Amino acid sequence: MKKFFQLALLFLSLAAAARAQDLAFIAHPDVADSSFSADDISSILLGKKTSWSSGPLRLAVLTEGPVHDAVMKTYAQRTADQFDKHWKKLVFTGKGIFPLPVKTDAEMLAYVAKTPGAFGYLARASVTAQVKVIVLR
Amino acid sequence: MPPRLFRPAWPKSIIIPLVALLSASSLSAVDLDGFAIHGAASQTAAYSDRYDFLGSTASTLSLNITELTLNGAYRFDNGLRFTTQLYAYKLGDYRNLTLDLASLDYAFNEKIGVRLGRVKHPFGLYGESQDVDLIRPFVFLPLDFYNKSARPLNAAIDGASLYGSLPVGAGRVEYQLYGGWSAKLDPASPFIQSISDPSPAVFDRANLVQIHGVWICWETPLPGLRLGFSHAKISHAHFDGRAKTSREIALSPGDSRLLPGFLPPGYWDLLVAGQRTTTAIAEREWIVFVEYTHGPWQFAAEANHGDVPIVTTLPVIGTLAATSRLASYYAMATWQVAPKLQLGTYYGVAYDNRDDRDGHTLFSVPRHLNWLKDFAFASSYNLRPWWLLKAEAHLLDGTKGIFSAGNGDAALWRSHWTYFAVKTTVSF
Repeated sequence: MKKFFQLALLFLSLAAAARAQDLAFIAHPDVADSSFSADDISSILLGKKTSWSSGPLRLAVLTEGPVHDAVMKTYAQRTADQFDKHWKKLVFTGKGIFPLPVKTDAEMLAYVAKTPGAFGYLARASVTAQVKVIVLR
Repeated sequence: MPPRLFRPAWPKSIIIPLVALLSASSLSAVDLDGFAIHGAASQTAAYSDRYDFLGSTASTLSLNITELTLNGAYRFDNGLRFTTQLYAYKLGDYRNLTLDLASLDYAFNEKIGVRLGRVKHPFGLYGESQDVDLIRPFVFLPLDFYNKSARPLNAAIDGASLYGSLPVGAGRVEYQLYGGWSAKLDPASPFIQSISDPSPAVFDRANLVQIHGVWICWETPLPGLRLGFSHAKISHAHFDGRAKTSREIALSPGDSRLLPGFLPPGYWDLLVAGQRTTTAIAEREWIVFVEYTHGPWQFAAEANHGDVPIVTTLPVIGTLAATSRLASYYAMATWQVAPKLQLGTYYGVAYDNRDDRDGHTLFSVPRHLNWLKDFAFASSYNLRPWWLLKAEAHLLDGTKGIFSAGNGDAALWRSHWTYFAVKTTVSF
């Protein structure tokens, strides 16, 4: 029984890692920063880090889907519902402005490409040369 | 007194803006050229088998609390952020519209930022977010620990705060240092009533109260676990008023706890009652807290000790001094059962005098005036992403926090009582 749980845990970890590798964090091309740690990504998603070295950071988040779920689980370390409540708490206590919600990778790509300081995430397969890919270190 | 069954209490002054707010917003956030607007409106109905508590709830289902929140925020290109928030509420028969927030916020980096203006007062785990019921399944946070009547004093301050998030060897430490003054305290507010009730005076004027303190939270390396501490010092609180008559002071016949023992019977009413008085109150409050989130589960616990020196200056007599040594504790658990359904429970214990937990020093009034033990069960259900329903039951032991007004002779009060509440909230 113990072995079964260990295998199941290993399988789930590999599945989460695989999903995390299928996504990309992107920024507006003019953003000077090019790499972040997982902690940095977590700080951005939770509204603690609100600026690049070159100016204000504007966060966009997907509203649903496997990429969003993977980002929530791996980097925000919250369920989608907990993430939503976290931001409601920030907004109604004067500590943040809701991230821009976008429904699709195409919307995310369009927003990040045209908005100075924008940061978001999408499926790696959707990335184009319009945006800068942030490398995870 | 005949039983009251149902008291409709929807004031037009609240319904009209509520309807306008909801119809204008189409229940989604409003973005006016970068100025983000959000809001929430809620109605609570409560019933108690014994007492008027936060409204006329004794044997009555009372629509006792109405709340409206309107929040606007704008971020300038240089990173400076402006936030403002209006909070209108009806608590029992008391109505108020307050500027809940109006602050400029600038983060130099992740480690240090500054907020100026009217900012939220951080204390404990949920002091800043005590009004944000969208984020929890409870109608009420622990009734004594997050006393709804005390929000005029503890919700926000006019001043400044330094904040940031520092990496430490293991995890991160978030901090806030703050100082300022309370918003103007309305003598008619339930907060002033709550401090008048156990005092020999009825207060009709309050000055601005200085508040400063620190809030520190360690986000440990164990994901979801955070531990923290907050300390607040409240000073220069002066309340002017009229000395009560001995009859007004007594919670029950023979209750003379607040009268000076050296004064012969009858002299209080002859020499002091009706004269102007001043009461100076200070407070030091220490809170430790822990919260652990794991998947759909969240566990939290807090402990609060407060020392409150009170000096009342009376004509003829001079000064009466006493110190309240308060204590309040609770443990809480919530469970996200399904995407739309959340359950929660907590048990809280609070004492007016932590050195006399059983109330042995109380005479002529019940001992249970000294404590409140609060066992609560709550559920919330999201009918729509913007529409929340809640139901909650409290099994209570003790009458700490029960006002004398509306509840009759305290000698007849019973220790055990129940309190039920339902609440609905819409937000955008």
